[in-house]
Amino acid sequence: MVMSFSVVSLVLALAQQQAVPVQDSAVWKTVRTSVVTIQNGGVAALIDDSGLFLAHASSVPGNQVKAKFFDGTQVTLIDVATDEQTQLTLLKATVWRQGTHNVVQVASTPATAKLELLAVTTDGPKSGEFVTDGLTGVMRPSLRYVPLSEIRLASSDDQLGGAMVFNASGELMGVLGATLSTDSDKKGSRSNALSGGGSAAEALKFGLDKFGPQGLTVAYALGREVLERVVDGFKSPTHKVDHPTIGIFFKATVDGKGVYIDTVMGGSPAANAGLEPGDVILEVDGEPVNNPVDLAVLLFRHNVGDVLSIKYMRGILKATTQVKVEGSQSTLGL
Amino acid sequence: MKKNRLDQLISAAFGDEGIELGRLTDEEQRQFDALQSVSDGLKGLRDVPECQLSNERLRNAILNGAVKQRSFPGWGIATATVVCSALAVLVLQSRFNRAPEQQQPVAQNTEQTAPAVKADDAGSAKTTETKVAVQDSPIVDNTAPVKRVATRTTPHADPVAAESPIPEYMVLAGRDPNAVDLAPVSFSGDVHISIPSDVGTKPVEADRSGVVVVDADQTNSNGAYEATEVTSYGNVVFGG
Repeated sequence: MVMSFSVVSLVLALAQQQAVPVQDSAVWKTVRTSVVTIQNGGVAALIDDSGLFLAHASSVPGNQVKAKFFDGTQVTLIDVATDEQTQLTLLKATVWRQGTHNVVQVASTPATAKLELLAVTTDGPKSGEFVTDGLTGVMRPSLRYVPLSEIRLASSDDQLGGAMVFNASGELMGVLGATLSTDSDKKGSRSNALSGGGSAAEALKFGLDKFGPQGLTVAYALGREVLERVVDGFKSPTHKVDHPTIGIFFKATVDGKGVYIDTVMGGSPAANAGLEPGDVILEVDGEPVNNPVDLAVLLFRHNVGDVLSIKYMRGILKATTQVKVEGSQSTLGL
Repeated sequence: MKKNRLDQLISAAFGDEGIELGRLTDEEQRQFDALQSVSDGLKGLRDVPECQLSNERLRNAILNGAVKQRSFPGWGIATATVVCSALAVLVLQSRFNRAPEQQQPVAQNTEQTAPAVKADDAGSAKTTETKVAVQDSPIVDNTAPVKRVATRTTPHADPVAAESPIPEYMVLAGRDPNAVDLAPVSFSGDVHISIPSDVGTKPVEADRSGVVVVDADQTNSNGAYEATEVTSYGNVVFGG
């Protein structure tokens, strides 16, 4: 009796999941004039009225692509720049008529748990919600820290990479950069099941197989903070993004005290300040650094030009040095 | 029962073959059988790709159900019923030594109390008028050759980054080898499931001990890069 009631409740829950009329939502009406779908690619959002668009690198199949607004307007976009830390790409329309489409604004307030969101994919809007904000992300191959938001999408579509994530006010909250690994062999059956082409049992089974315990896609979006930095850089005259760096690779120490410097880039601010591989960073500006995440977040939040006072240990000796934070561009000499 | 002995039973029940249990007393045998049935039940969750499992998500899925009460008042009752039924079956199963595979549907059904997500709440969304194309608005000609900007990141890639191997049974039970009492299932004399009192009432907060590694060289079938959750940053190398 109890079990049968449980099953009925599960089926009802799935039925309710289908009934979300995202297409009619006010937020979709707001953002639909700001987003284009890229031919054979993903989506891009208008970030400047001079015809600048933001996209995820995974959404851009070539250096010059054709794209279309959801209202049918077509544009040709040229790949101008890619920020390797975030894998965000700047596209520019070859010909652009100003004032015709809404320019997307990056959200000014952080996401909160359970905040409802709208993700725009090539298939249109999808509903979802934020799970957590401020997750620690590491981008390979750069290994740079990026703040991520974990989101769940009520979608099983094929093209989720690079989806633009908006809050209920139509502000850009993130760009969907990654999802947990999926089993491609089982693609498709969930869509059929949920759209009436299969049984509820199939839907349940597929939900477990592909999308995890909640039956939703678990995805990670580049957070608002980093998005703001990238958009500002892209909109600058040079279209360059400067991420603060001192030029080291680091990891946790064995005993959990301080942060172990694994590599120091030649000619970097850290090298110039005398830091060497094997040194253990203990404090930055008087604040104890207990693990690599602390240090990564701290470096991320500093601005280019800041000077850090770093206390470190080499063998049994402790010392303090001053390290100037530089932009990733200047460090590389680009 | 001594704690060390209980730990041995737990390790053996969750698949540690290196544990020598020796002769079991009746009580220990009963305890072991109960633990093993829980272990088998958890293994039933293996239909979920392992990469999708995390302590936090698994706990929420099983215990919370994430059904929004505001959408329909009855969902609270439904969630409670599902959780209760799962508890009842787990307890009964441990008492009567039922076949392990009978436990699997219970765990799956409990997890599948999927939330109904709504992002289109017109009442909470600002409505902005869609701008209409203006025929005489200025046109920007961007057809001039564009020099592509490569915004590289310093330092460069280091392929060293790797996660610490974690015993499978610890992942399944929500246990991190470096952490204590992370699992929602606790064992103390008899099998029961301990439900944290704050589940479902607090917003989920970011877990600073975990790291999400995004690999730009690996793309999932949905076009997004592949992400891997690492439960500890132990051996993860950061650049900065």
